[in-house]
Amino acid sequence: VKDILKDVLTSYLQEEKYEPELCRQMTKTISEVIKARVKDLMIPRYKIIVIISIGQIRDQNMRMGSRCLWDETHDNFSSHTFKNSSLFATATVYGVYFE
Amino acid sequence: MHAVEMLSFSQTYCELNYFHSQTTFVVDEITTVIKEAVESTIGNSSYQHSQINQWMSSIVESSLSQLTKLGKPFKYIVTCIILQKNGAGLHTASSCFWDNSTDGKTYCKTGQAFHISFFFFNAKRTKSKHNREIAFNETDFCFSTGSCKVRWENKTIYCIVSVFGLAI
Repeated sequence: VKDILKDVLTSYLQEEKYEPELCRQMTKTISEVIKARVKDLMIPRYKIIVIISIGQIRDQNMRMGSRCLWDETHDNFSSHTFKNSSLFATATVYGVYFE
Repeated sequence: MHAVEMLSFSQTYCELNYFHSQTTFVVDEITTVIKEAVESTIGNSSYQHSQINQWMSSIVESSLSQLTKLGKPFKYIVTCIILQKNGAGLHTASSCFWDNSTDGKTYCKTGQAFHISFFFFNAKRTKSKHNREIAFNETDFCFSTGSCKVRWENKTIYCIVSVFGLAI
């Protein structure tokens, strides 16, 4: 799944500069694309959550964290961050087993 | 504060034995719980780099523990983004493949622009084998000077916390 994230983020954002309107659309598109590709993996009985954050780089600090209450043996997540000169993007996919 | 989606949630622990709890839509309850967790942790602080990790852990953990106390059969995913206010823009989006009738999410931003979104996954067994796909949800928190959705003039931090709730 990490490969999918890497792939999608680089292909969509490699050349882009940060622009509010563009990034707004981009977040929607990217999350849909990632969700579709993860679904294509056809992993049965899993629910999927995809979170994308795209932000402008402006010498600010930022931290992202997450905690989950789930079943460790079956549930997991994957994430990837992409950065270029004007923007950064973080993609996280959570997979939760549907019992 | 936005109470976002209609959601039915509950929470599960391995110790919990009941999977037949009624699921009720209590968006406000969740939002309140989360708000309290955030306010008690951050209060009126300004951005301090050294404190960030601690704040984040404590927000997320106290939210989770409050949510578990609600005692409903859900799995929870809580995510938190803390952003120093600097005129930069941030866009967040999420796309979920789950069961619309039982799972949900919400988010909230505090006055210090600590944004917290919560996703609740209903842990209850559902009869439907077919997971319905949720429509795309976008939360756009653009803080750039050009197109701000939210302006917090006298604070220095933005914090975004998301909680997802999933049914088992």
